[in-house]
Order: sequence, then structure tokens, then C-alpha cells
Amino acid sequence: MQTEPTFLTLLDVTYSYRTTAAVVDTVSWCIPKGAVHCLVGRSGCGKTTLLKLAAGLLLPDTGAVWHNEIPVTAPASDVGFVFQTPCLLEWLSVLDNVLLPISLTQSVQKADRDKANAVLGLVGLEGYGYRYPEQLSGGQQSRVALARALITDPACLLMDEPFAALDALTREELQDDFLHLVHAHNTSVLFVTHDIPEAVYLGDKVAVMEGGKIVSETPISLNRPRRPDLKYNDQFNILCRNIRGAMAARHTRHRGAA
Amino acid sequence: MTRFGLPSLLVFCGLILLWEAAVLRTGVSEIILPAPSAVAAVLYDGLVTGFLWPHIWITTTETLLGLFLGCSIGFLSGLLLSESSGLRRLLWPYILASQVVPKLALGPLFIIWFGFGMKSTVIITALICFFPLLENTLTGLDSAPREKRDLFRMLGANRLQTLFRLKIPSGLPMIMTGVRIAGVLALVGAVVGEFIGGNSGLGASIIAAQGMMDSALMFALFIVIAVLGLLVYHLTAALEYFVLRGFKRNTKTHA
Repeated sequence: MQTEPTFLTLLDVTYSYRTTAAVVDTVSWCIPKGAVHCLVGRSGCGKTTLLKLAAGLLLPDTGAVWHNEIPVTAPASDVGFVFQTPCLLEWLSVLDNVLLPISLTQSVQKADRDKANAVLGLVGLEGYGYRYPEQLSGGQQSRVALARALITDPACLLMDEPFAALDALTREELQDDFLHLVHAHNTSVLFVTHDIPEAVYLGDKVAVMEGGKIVSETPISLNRPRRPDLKYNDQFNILCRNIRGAMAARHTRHRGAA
Repeated sequence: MTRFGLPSLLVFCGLILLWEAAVLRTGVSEIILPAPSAVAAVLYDGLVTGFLWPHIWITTTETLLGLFLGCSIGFLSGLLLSESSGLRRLLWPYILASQVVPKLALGPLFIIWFGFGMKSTVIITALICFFPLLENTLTGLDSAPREKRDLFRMLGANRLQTLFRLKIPSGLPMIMTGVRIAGVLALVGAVVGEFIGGNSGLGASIIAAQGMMDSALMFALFIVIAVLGLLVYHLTAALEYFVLRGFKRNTKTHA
């Protein structure tokens, strides 16, 4: 173990769906407490599978996953998972959607409702509690999904391309609010995306995944707090180009082999 | 009516007038084609003297009872099969086979088992309503997307919670469509069931009218059945709207 405490540890994790070759192939990874790690890769490279393994939704064929040095054998309650789509229950109000993680384990008290309203305020949706999901824009729905993941104060957030379907400006707003929230709560984050600038902007470290393996890891030493104009800075662009290069080089080699 | 409005009404009146004129002019026998005025007279008479009411009442009861029984059993069986994949695999070929068997063909057998009258008809009606509900419940419960199931797993929801708080609400629009389909089939089931084994009710009255060659009465009964069908349809549609109002609210603001 390193000197800094880790939250999420994956060691030589391999997973394959029944018939195919390994989708996730001997991946090892540590995420320190409070760090934001991003994972980029093409569609179908195994990113989502890796995320599900980290969450305990899937169990590895070989290797192991630890949360806080406790082995994960079932879907973990101490992490929040945000899916590609907001996954809101359209028959529940926004408030009830945010309260879902609580209402599934205990009866909802007034304190819980107050907290849900507070979390909605944090994600910029104060006063939206009594609306219904379909009355919200895509960006607002993503914010509700984030609020639902945050209500249990998870030590770790696993994000599966949560902002991919949003327009560029909405996405920027959400990225900033997201960074602000996770830093305020010292939450560890594994953020999967196919958008390289997004990964560089959010991450302390960006890994590239290709064919089920982590093929490169780039520490991002840009200062925090980060601001949107960072995206026009030279250092930022060089990092993006390097990561883009790592993806492309790997892909050419793969095609050459095939 | 409001949706189709005046033009539809005019077409209806025009057709009735044309029919009346055709009967008057050709002098066709009343047994072949009774004039609309004659049908209206029989219908009015039947309603005023109270001759039709017991039959309407019986057919309505059979329809609603069959609908209720068929839908309830269909829904519960759907739940059971959807929760137990082993049972589903085991029984699916039989369910499929029994779906293609015309249920009304079982009518004569039911009469042997349950006797003439209401019981047989209700059972036939229930059997006809059973399948749309079973099928739509199964499809509806499976319709909850993968990601939402994963969400419930992540949140540590147990099986019952996933069923009642995710699968059933997700499937509700589909299930209610099944109820609406069953509603339309229920009346057909009840009327045809009475053809086979009824001694009273609208279907039995049609057979009786046929025996007396009373075509005007048969037409009057068609009209009553059509009105009853519309009422049952609107009843199920209203039920659907009522149950799904949580879903409808959303689409309204979007439009």
C-alpha cells in the first residue's frame, strides 16, 4: 500500500462474458481517497464492465476488488453509481427519486426529506422537488441522478459517461458543479468517459483502456480548482494530444495485427 | 363523438336515411332487412317495457365479472411466471399452445362441466381475457431497462422491492393496454358464450330472435351490444387513464 490511503483497489481483475474473450483483462488500479480518476477508451473497450466490477455489480473471474481494504462480493452500498442515462423513475417526483436509496432501506423521515432538498440545492435544483422527471431538461435529469447518488454520502462515486448525452455548455456547467461537490466531500471518483478533454479537465489521473487492458496512465498535474478557460491553455491541450496519441497508437497496432 | 364531430354524425344520418328509403322503395321483406324505423321502434319498445333490461344486466354482469376474473388471474400468473424463470420455461409451450386454441371452441365442454347459464359464460369470458393480461404482464415486467435494474441492485433492493417499486410500475402502461384489449374481447366472449350456452342475456336473445325470424329485434340487439361495447371500452380506457395519471402528467407538459 502507498502512503496515501486508498479507497478503491482492483488487483489483476479479469472478467469475460460467457462466450467471448476477456472483456477486462488483468487490470490493476488504486484510487486514493478524494482522488478523481478518469478512464477513457473507445466504445466496447470494457470501460463499463470495469466500472461494474468496481461497483460489485459483476464479480471478477480472477483477481479481486477492495473498497476501503474490504473485499467486494456484492453490489456495494458505500459507493454511488451514476449511469449513462439518468435512470430516474418517471412515476416518482424528483424528491422521491432522490430519496429512493433511503426509502429502499428504511422509512423516510422528515430529516431525510430535508437532506434531499439540501442535496437538490447542491446540484442547483432547489425547489424542483415536486416536479416530475419528464418535466426536466436532460441536464436537470442528470443533476437529479447525481443528487440521488450523493444522498447517502458515498465515499466513492462511479460515473459511467453520465454527461455524454448533454450539449457542450450544459456539460461544462455540470463538470464544474461536479468537481466542486466531490472536492467538498472528499469523494473518490472513477469517471468513465469517451471525451478526452472531459477526462483531462476532471481527473487527477487519466487512464486509457483498449481491448480490456489499461494501456496508458497519465497523471494530470493541472492546478485545482479548475476553471472552464483551462480548456484553452497549452498545457491542457498537450495533455489531451498525448492521451489522444496513446489511444490512436494502440488502435493502429491492433488493426495491424488483425 | 367530440373528436369526430358533426361530419361523422351527418354520414350516420345520411346512411340511415338511405337505408330507410331503400327499404321503402324496394319493398324488401322485413325478415331480410328491417327498416331503421322498425328497428328503432323495437328498440324503444324493448327499453320502455323493460323486456331488454334483464338481458342487458346479465350480459353486463358476465362481461365485467369475466373481465375482472380473467385480468386478475392473468396478471397474477404473469407475475408468477416472470419471477420464476424455471416455471416460465416449463409452462411456456403450453401457454403458447393454449393461446392459439380458439377459446370459444371450449364452450360446449364448459357447458358439460358447469351447466347452462351464467357460470359457463363467465368462465369463457375470463379465459378470453386471461391471455392478453398474461402476455402483457410478462412483457411489461420485462420492460424495465437493464440500467434501472442495476440501479436497484446497487441500492441493495430485495426481490420484492424490485418487483413492486421498479418492475410493476415500469410495466404498468403495458399491463393497462392489456386490460383495454381484454375489455373489448370480454364482451365478444360474453355474447358468443351466450350463443353457445346461455338461456338469457343479449347473445341468447339474438339466438331467440333468430328462431322467431325477428330481424328487427336482432338489429336492436346489435345496437345495444355496440353501445355496451363502447361503454366497456371507455370504462377500461378511463381505468387506464386513472392508473397511469402519474405517467400522463408528464407528457402533457411536454406537448
